[in-house]
Amino acid sequence: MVPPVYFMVLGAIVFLIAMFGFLTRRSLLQALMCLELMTASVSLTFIAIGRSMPDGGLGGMAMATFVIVIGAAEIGMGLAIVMLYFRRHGDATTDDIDLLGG
Amino acid sequence: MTPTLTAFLVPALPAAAALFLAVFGRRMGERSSHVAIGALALSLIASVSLLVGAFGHEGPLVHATVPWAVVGGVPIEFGLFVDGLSASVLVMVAAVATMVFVYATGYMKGDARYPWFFTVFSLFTACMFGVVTSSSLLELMLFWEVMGLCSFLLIGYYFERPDARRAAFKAFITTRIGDMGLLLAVALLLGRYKTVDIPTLLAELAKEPKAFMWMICALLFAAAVSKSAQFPMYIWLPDAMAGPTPVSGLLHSATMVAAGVFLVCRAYPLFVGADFLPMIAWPGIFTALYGAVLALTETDIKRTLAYSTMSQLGYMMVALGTGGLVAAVFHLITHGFFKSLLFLSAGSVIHGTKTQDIREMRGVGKTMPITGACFLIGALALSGIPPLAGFFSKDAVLASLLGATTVQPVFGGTLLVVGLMTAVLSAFYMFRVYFGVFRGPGRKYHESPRAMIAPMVALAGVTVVAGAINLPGLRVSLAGMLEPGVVEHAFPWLMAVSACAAGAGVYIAWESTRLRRALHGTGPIPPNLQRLYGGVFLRPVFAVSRFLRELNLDYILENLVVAPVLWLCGLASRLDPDVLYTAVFVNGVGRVAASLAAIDVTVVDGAVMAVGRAGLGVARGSGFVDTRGIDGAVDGVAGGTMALGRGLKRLQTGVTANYALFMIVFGVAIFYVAWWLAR
Repeated sequence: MVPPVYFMVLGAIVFLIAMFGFLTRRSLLQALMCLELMTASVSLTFIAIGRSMPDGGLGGMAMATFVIVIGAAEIGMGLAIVMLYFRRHGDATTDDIDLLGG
Repeated sequence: MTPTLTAFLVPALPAAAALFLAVFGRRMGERSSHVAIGALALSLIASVSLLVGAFGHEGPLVHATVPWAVVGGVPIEFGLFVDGLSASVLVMVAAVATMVFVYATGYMKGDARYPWFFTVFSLFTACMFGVVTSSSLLELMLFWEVMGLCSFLLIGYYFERPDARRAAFKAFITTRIGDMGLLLAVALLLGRYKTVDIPTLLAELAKEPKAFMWMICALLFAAAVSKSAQFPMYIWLPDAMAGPTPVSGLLHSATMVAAGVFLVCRAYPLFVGADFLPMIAWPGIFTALYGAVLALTETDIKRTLAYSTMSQLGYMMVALGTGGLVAAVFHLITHGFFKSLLFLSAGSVIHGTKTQDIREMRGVGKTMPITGACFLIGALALSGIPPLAGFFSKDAVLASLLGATTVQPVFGGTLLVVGLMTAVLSAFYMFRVYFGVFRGPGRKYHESPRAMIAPMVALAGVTVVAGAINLPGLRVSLAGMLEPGVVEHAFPWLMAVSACAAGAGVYIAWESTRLRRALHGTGPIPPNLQRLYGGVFLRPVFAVSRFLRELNLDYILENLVVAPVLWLCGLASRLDPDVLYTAVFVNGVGRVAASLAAIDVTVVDGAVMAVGRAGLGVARGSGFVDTRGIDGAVDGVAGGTMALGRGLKRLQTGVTANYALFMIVFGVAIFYVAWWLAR
């Protein structure tokens, strides 16, 4: 049986990759993909931690289910925003979105 | 109404009118005279009711005081004091003033400063009422001084003319010299007795040694001499003619000059007690004669009347100087009536002929018959022709002089002879004017307006009957009020002599007028006139009068009065009298004024400026604190916030990646801190 710490390390690595991608990708769609990757890594970490809990992993799985549901809602919103932005501007790169700049 | 309230109203009403006119006069214009005359008419009614109350009243009718101030622990009381003397003088002043005010509405018509005239005129009359009703010497002095100020304003009413300015200044300064006496007397008495109540003072002074009483008398008399234009302080009186004629009519009959005589009357027990009477009699009789002689050759109709006023005031003084209090007050009252009548008539003549020179007035009586008749009645009264008022009062004065002969034959005899001579001269100068101005052929003039004629006629009526107030043997009379219980002696032969003297004066005047007409080539010189002229009477008298005029005693006197001051000032080298007078009175005062102005500029203005500068400095300091401190703090907060904002806004790049990075960094940091705390 693979000890849970490996899954946690894998989750951390995936999270860092996703984070790096989120910070460096200029396309909004790619950024959204990175977000999804981040939630996935977090779900993996929850499940790995849940395995070592006394309830036998049910709590971790419940948390992962919540993350998936929230992630689905979030991706719906995010995709809607990206689509509207794309319709308005003809492209969707993070460099052009700087209206909040002081 | 109580007598006290009535007595208060007498001076208060014209004073209130003056105050009212000072504020609203300009807006009221010609209507302002209604206010003044209305107030004065009410004062007249109040005075008459006081006089009625004073008849047969034991002691003073009103003696009420109120505490005015406490100075150095000494209570200063102001109040009212009305006895027979005050009441009778009040009625005369109020009656004459009312008539003169009505006259002034006609005389001053169309004048640019009409409301101002009535303002000052009301105040002037109010002050005379105040002098007469004062119970306190300090209060009396107050009114006395304000009256002096009003006389200054009224004599200098035509201040566009230099002679009016000079005359006003001269009157003010000359009377002020005498006022110093009053001030010193008040100071001495206040310091010694801690009171200024006149009846109390008179009672206290009666217990003092003669020398002290004498000194107080001298101080009070100095004030009376300058106010009543007695020798040698008469110099302001003839020049005071520069004022409008109504002013002369009031100032020279009922108010200003009467105040001096009234002061002596008020303090009469003191003058008697101090044996001061001869000191009053000698200047008095000299002034009477001197004024009459000067009036003889005067060519200005108003100045002639001014010298006549001087002379008549001398009569009053000499009556006081021989114990004739009743005679003096009697003559004061009748003189108030007939002299104002003469002045008003003269004003009417001036109004009609547009000149004051009697040589240019000819036959005025033909076309101005009412004025002529009024002047004639006034002249007859002044000359002492029976049965006019002046006859009785002048006779009372002469009787008082005669009474003095029984005690001191030489003193009384001299006074009586000079008094009779003056009576002759008075009739002479008065009728010289009357015959010269009103009789004979002349140009056509217009009679004056009704507003001027009506008061003249009223005064003429009073002049005819005023002698009745002191008929011997009458139950209700002036003598009965002033000196109850004292039986007045009537001297029928003296009355006859006095009437003859007046008649002689009129006759000489008539002959003199005929003579002058003859000399002007309008007729042959009758032989009896040649004798009359050639040494018996006319030539010496005219010679003396001309000599006195050329001697210009006025100027010399002006300098005699100021000689000690001159000596002190080290100006004795400048011998020209006019220059000396100018140097001391005019320039001296001017110099004092200049130095005061210098003090004003350097010290007072300096202090004011220093205060101003200090205030400016404080303001600048507080302004600095305000702009730099308070505003600085406020601005600083704002500026700091702005700077912080400018600094912080750099963080807001708008670049999504940056926000994500911050989120991550701070998220990690928060987790790290939470972990560290939970450890």
